[in-house]
Amino acid sequence: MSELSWQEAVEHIAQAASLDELKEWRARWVGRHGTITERMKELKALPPEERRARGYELNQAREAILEALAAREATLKDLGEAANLEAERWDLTLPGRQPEVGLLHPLTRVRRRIEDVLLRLGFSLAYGPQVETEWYNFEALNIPPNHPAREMQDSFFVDIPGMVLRTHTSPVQIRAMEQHQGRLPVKIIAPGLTYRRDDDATHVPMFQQVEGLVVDRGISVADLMGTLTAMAQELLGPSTKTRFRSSYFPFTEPSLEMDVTCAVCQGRGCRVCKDTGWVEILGSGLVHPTVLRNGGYDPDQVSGFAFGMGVERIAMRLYGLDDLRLLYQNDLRFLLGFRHQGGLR
Amino acid sequence: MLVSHRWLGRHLDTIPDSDTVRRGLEQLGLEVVSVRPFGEDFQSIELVEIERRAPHPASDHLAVVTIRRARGATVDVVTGAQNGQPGDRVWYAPPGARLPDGRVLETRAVRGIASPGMLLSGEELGYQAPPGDLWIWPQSDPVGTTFLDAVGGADVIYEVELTPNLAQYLQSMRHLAAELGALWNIPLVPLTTPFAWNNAAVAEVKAPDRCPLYALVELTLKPGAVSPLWLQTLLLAVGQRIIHPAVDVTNFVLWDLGQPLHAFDAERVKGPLVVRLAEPRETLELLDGTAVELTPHDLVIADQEGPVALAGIMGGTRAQVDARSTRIWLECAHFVADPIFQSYKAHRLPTDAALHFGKGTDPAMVFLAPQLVVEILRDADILEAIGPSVLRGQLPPQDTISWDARRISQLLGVAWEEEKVRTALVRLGYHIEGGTVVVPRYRHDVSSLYDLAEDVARFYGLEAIQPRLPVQRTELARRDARHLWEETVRDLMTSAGYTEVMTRTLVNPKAEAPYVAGDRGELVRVTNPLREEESVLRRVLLPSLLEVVRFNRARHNLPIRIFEVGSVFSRRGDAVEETQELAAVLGLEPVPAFPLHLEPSVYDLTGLADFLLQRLGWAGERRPWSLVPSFLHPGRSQEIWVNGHPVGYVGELRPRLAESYRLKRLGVLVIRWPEEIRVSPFRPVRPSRFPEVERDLSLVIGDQTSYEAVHRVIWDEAGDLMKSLDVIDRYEGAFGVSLTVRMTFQSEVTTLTDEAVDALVAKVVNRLSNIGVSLRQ
Repeated sequence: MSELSWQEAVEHIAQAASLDELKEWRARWVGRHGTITERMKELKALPPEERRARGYELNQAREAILEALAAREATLKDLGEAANLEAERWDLTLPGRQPEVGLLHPLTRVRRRIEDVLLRLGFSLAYGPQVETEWYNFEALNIPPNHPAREMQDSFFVDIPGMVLRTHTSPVQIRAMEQHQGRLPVKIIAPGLTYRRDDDATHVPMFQQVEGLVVDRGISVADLMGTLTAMAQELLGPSTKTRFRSSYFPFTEPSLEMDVTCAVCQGRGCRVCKDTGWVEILGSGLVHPTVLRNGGYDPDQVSGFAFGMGVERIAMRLYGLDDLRLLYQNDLRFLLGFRHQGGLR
Repeated sequence: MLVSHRWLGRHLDTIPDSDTVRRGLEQLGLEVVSVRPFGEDFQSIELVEIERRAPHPASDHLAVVTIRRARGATVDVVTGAQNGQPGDRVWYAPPGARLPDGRVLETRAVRGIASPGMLLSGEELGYQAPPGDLWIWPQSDPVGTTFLDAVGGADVIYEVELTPNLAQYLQSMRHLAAELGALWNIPLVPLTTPFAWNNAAVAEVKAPDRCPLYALVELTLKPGAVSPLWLQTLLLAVGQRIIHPAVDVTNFVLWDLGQPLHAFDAERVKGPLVVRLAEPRETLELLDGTAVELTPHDLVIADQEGPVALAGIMGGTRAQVDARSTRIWLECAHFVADPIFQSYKAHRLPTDAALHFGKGTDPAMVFLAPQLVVEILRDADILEAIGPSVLRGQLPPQDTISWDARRISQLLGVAWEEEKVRTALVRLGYHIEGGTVVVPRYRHDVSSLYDLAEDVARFYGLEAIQPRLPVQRTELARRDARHLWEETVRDLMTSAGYTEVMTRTLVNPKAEAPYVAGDRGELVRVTNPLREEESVLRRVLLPSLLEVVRFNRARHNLPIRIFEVGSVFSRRGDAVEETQELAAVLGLEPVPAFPLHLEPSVYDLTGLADFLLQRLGWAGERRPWSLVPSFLHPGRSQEIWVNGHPVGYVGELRPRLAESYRLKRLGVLVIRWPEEIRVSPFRPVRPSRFPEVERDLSLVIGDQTSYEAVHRVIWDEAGDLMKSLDVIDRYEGAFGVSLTVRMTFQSEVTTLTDEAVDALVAKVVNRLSNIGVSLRQ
């Protein structure tokens, strides 16, 4: 072995196949009894001149060997790691583990969107009971007992005299005005469940409405049209166009219905919009003077506008649904499908 | 309501095309459901002259008739008609023509002779014609004239959706035409002159507050007459049947002027007629054959023997006009709307007359309608004589509104000059004198400036108003704190992996009852439910969710992890409490999944309860309960308390119930909103900079010992230096149950020594032995 020169040793080290072999090389050349270590011990016996030259030479050899050992060790470690990692390869085409997060019901998402848009327009949230007195549900809203409009809203009655399941969220108009006790402005929206005796593809006996009410000095039809158009564009997209038509509701005067451009045909006319290019989306109007009076406001001094819309109808438009009943069937296959709705949280 | 283009045209100097009319109707606030042509089929029916008539060689009843068509062509047609002689002009439907009943004609062999099309009777055309099998045409129209030309040309029918306030147009062509004419500035054709009454004592009014105007006139008609063709055509166009001239003309006036009329057979009544309230228990047999029992709220027309009509709603059979009637009493009245509405609702008789009177009519028409009837009958040569007549009562006063054009503009949000506002109203029939607006008598819907604003808006069209956002004092929009909790809970539940469902609040009382825990008050019952399964307002939410489980399990095997935040109702006396409840259901069955099977258990739900209370900050806890309701597993359920009150529970559904929902085991969690919500204060803590020391203990605990007892003892003994206590393993062996707990110690002020910690642990172990808990060897 010792017939090898240190330069040859460096070459062997650079070729070493394993860390164990490196360990042997280290022991043989620079270990406690290694060749160079032993030679260095012999230096003491040499004359000073020769000792210096020989010492210099041995040190150089030692440095070179250590360097070669370190270099080869690093290389071998890298190769070993790579081999180990290769052995640890996993099949990442297997399904990943998704965080388990549930989904909000589509109607909750749509209601929140509506609330969000209107909150940004300065409307506060207000609420009222679902089992409502006939006074709040009808009389206070200018629907006296013999009024033909009671036929428009086929009501569920309960076994408590004078009470009904509210047929709309409009009674909250009166309740909100009462709570404001004459203060201005009144600016509220009232989301909530409402009930009518209807059951088919476009009507369910229980449904959600969002009511809106603004009362202040100088409120006009122009304010109503501007507010509802802003809301529609924020809710349904900036390219949405609105159109208002005269209508009739007992608690508004004038009464207006708002149409928006049909989402299916973009206003060109199709089966969904009966070739008109428009789809009705909500009812509205200036608050009827009798209703203002019943809420404690003087219709000669102030005025207001109100609107009411069905959350389901907006949801059907936003999601392109044609059967309302799906929304209340609670089929998980349908509900879990909404995990794909990135834009509609 | 069906509106005829030609009929509207009778009232206007000129009438624009049907597209303009449609838009006009919409501008008035009417929804036009459909627009369709009327009379198209009449285009192929033609007038022919009979040249020859020969008996059919194979039949005694049939004849072969040779007819001459336009341009001299002749055709042989087989007919069974007895009339139709050479020289007569008759209506002929050639092959391909369609009759009003839907039949399409073709060439048919009748007993061996080909017969192309057929010769028509009046009835086959939908009309009433003079007696005879074929309609022998009396006019001198040339051969080849189409039936469409004979009846005055094609018509367009607009189907209009009625809103309950249609009072302003009185469901009348005249009033619709008036509004449309106002929009387009087209003058109206003047109406007829008032009828001249001869003040005979044929009627009296005993209830003038219910009937401000009552007119009666006796008319004698020529026997066997039929209504004029133009009138029949208009009535057919708007879907009315042709019955008898006396009835047809009243129908015509009803839709023309919005004025219901009624005809009595004068031979069958013993006058004078009296307008009075019904006597209690008086009865009346109506035209439709039903008998009604009247009440003193009903207004009747009576003769000397009793009621002959339910006023403004329907006549009785006793004085009914029929085909033989020639002397009739024609009634024309103005009734107050509300009581008529109530009467027809009470008796469920929404007749055309009731729907007009019940929404309010134009009292001025009482003066004109009888004259219109007389003129129509006279022109058609049906009227023999006018007999005694009378008008009782007077026109009601007109309503007035203070004139304020500025306020109207303000309500609309426009800066229109007074003149512009005035123009709209005047054109719509209002009189503005000084500071007062006089409202036309037929506008029962107008009582304030708001109504005038609506008319002005309709007149100029809503697109004339420039939309804007309101300028107001800025106020912060607020959310309601109590309802915000609902949203927070929804978000927490979805973040915990549960999917929201939404169920109906109306439920089946039988399905709800077994799941009512604690005092939930009485049920609120719907008195007119759509079905028994949706007849009460739920007091608890859980059964609704369990139904969702059943529905889904019947269809697929998706894991059940659902929740709802919804309303529940409790009745106490006549008061109804409405609260919010959270219910969650977890299917307790292994969910096969890569890379790890999930094994949901009731611990997922107890943990969920703690998670919710912690995140909400509600001061709450789980407690064992002494009397577990029978729908829950007695060994795996706990109550949830908040602010010292029970608010819900968490646990496993009794397994045999779970099975009825198609799952072996179901975990449930219910939390009802506490009456008062107090949030526990929280302050963040700066972490200690000294090291933590951990000690694990494996404890053997007895069957009767709960972890809660172990937990309490450890916390009591370990003192402030222990920062956390976790269960890290549970193991069951021959020795019983073993729990491994990990205690973590840390000081805020110094590095803890092993000796100090060991001393604390020794104290803990010693105290645990007092409750029968030992270290596992």
